[in-house]
Amino acid sequence: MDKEFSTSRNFILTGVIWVIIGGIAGLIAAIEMAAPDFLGGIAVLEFGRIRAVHVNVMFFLWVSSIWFGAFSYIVPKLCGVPLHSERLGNISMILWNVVGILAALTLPAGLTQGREYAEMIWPIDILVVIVLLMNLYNIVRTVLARKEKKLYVSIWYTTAALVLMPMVYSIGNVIWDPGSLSGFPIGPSGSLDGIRDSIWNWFYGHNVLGLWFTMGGVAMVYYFVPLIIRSPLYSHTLSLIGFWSLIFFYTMVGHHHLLETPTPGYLKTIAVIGSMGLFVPVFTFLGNIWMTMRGNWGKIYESLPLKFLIVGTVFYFVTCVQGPFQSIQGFNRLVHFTWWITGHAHLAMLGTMSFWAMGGLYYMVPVIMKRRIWSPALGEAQFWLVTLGFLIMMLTLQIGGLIQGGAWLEGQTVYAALPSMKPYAIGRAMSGALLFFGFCLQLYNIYKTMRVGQPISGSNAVAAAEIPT
Amino acid sequence: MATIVENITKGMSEAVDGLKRRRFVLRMDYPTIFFGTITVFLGVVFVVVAMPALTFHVDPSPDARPLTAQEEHGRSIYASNGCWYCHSQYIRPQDWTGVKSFETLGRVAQAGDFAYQKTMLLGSERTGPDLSQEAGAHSDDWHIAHFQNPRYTSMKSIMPEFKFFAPDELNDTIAYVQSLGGKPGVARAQKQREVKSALLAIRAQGEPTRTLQIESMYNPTWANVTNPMPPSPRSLTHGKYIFVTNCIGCHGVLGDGKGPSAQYLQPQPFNFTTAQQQSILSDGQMYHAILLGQEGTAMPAWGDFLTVNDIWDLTNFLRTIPGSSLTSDPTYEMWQATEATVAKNPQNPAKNPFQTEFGKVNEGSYYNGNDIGPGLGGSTINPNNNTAPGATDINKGDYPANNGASPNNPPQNQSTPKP
Ligand code: HEC
Ligand code: HEC
Repeated sequence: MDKEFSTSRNFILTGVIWVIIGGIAGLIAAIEMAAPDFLGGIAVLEFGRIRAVHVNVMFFLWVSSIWFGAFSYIVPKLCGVPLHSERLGNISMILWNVVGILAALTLPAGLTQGREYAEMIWPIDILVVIVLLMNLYNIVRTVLARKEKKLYVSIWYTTAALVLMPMVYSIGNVIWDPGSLSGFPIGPSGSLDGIRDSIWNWFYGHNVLGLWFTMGGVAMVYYFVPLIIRSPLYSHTLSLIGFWSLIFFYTMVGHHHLLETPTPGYLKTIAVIGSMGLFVPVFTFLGNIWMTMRGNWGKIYESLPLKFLIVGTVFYFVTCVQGPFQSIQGFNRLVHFTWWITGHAHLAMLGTMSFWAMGGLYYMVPVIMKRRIWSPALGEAQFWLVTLGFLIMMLTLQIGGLIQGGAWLEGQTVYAALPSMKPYAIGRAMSGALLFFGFCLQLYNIYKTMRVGQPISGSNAVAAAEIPT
Repeated sequence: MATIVENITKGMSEAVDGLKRRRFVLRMDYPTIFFGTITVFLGVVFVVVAMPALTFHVDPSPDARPLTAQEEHGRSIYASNGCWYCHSQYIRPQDWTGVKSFETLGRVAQAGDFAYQKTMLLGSERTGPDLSQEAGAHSDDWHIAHFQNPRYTSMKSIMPEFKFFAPDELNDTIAYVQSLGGKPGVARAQKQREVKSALLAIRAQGEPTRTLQIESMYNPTWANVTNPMPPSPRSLTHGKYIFVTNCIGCHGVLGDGKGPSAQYLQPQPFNFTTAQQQSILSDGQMYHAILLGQEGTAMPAWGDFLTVNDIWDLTNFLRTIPGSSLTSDPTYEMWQATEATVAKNPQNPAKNPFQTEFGKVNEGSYYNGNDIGPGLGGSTINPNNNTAPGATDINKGDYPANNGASPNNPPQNQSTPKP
């Protein structure tokens, strides 16, 4: 439990397992969209329940687990000291898996708060915040004990992510209001009354992406990319601007999910301005990374982690161009409520965050375990399966979404427009199968690496991450 | 004087020099990061979260209404089954319709509509229609059949089955759905129930009256409207297409009113297979029945989904259903099996316009009706059986066991052409 980097290792391993569970849930949901009577009539596998499992497992047990793992790897490395307490980290890892198990049991049982991304019920919410705070403490103590005086940008982002996420989570879940644990209409639930509740819900809904996933992901990319290509970061001023503008603008944008609801206009204005403002942190970050890559682009063929990370930044670019445009009223009218948005969500969480997670873990696993990746070819196959699966998913969902939105604008009713969505639902389910297969390869590869990967001796462990292909 | 000016200019140029020399650098030490992050975040949070929570209190809108305990329970079922992932609950200014648009048109959501609710279920997707004005759009028994399997009533639906609902869960969910739309919505749902009992009372007296003939409820002049669409092959083919892809869940694959929904519905779906039944309704009445639906019964208003053209074609087609008085009309000869079809499947000539691969409906994917054409039957399903293949498959699936048309008990009034 006290072994160096054991927290990081264990978080990564559990994440790699959880993504399979989230994947099964997602695949079931996708098939149900195309063939609604598939598994029909089984309550726990009903679309509305299994969708909640899929989203929560992918958010909190897959990507977030990798984030925790990466934080407790990156920060000690950058500070030149071991993690403050591996034991604390491992306890938080166990608790985090308890969160996962509870979520995977309660959500199919229909116990939900009924608020998007905040489905997990109150007792689980508490556990989530505890784990976040444990990690915050651990990271802050590590940074305070550092030998390296300079604070590299990844440390800013890591700290900010862990500082902000407990606050975002508590506010968004109205955590001081447990609801009554028995009689409240919608399970044990924190929420406000009236339409104000949706304002809080979407403040949370967007910031869990902006202030947790983006922060964590950016921290990883800032750390791994310069390291892999052995070239210093292009500009620290850019990362400085990016950092503060990210916190400032992201916090404003939640309301762009509610542009056409009867809510105060000033919130909508702020959200649209904030969404446009997001171009600042996004392009400073991307510019910084891409400029760092100058002269080294060829290395994405040599390093699997780099390949995942850089392709992730490309998808991040697409996400962050789509996002602000979606929040412009004119475009929002067309795409809101359609599958386009589902495509956009996958672009962010799968195309960007999951790619960064995969890149990070393919770097960290060999270094931590001091073994070469068992089969680089399999990793390569995973890369292509996931990339292809993701692209098909995004394209089918977004093309389908445009057709849907266009049909509505034309005056068709939702029911009348359903048949034109059918091919896209099928395409999306097929893409889900590709993705699922890709993640299975990942699990197998990591398992084999752990077991029979070729050991590397001595301090030269970093070389392990450089996977020849 | 001169020295003062000199001093000022000197001071200014020094200041400019200083600015030029010093690059703007924010020192990122750890306290700056830690507390700076919190400060920026909380500053924005104050504006976008705290302010609205403190100031945005709206009075209930005139239509708003607190839910009863039963409806509230239905609402929690709605939440736990994730209905809100597929259904929104607010109509936007640009949405020209919710459901049953001719009654609810223009009811754009107001903040006060949500006054009595805790935990918003506004929804973020419209895989299914907006439900904010759903109450009264359908009768209660339509909902029973619909929750059992949405494909029973809405054949193109991709909504999940909710047959796992316990009886009280089903009731409460329906109570909730029938309360969506506030006071006017509840009034609409109430009217459905009143018309239903009035209708059943009239029918109980043995009179063959249709709803459309009750003068107080419908415009009697509709009876005089004639069908402007000639019953051309195009019209009939199209009518059949629409019927097979929309109506057989209730009206049955044979048009005898014994679709899978029928077991849940009261009054029963209309039976098109007898001349006596068909003669009750004029073309104009049939048109209006389809366009506006039948209040108090499960018959939906198809005006939101079908065009005028579709409905007149349907009306033409419905008159060709075997057993109705019009089958002997030479105009409809083309519905007999063609030689090609018979040759393909000698034992099972197409007998009536409903012979299609209808079994697919039961397997979950909704039927898209692509291979419907005059004289074409999906007779590949059960070549050795001498009845409509659709009917055979239906009885294998979820269809009610007591369905009248079964392989062993084909509908009596079916005319079998000799190949
Ligand atoms: C997979 C998405 C999905 C889920 C989950 C879902 N629905 Fe639906 N729903 C649809 C679609 C699509 C339609 C339109 C076709 C139809 O009538 O079935 C629909 C239609 C409806 C209608 C009829 C609307 C009309 O046309 O008047 C009601 C009422 C309804 N749903 C209620 C519910 C309830 C209650 C739940 C949860 C217990 C639920 N739905 C869950 C997709 C969904
Ligand atoms: C959800 C079940 C359902 C569906 C789907 C349905 N109907 Fe009906 N329909 C009924 C019921 C129930 C009645 C009986 C109404 C009555 O007794 O007055 C009816 C009656 C009718 C009538 C006679 C009206 C009258 O005065 O009784 C016509 C015509 C009709 N349906 C046509 C159609 C057509 C065409 C479609 C497909 C586009 C269709 N129906 C789809 C349930 C349905």
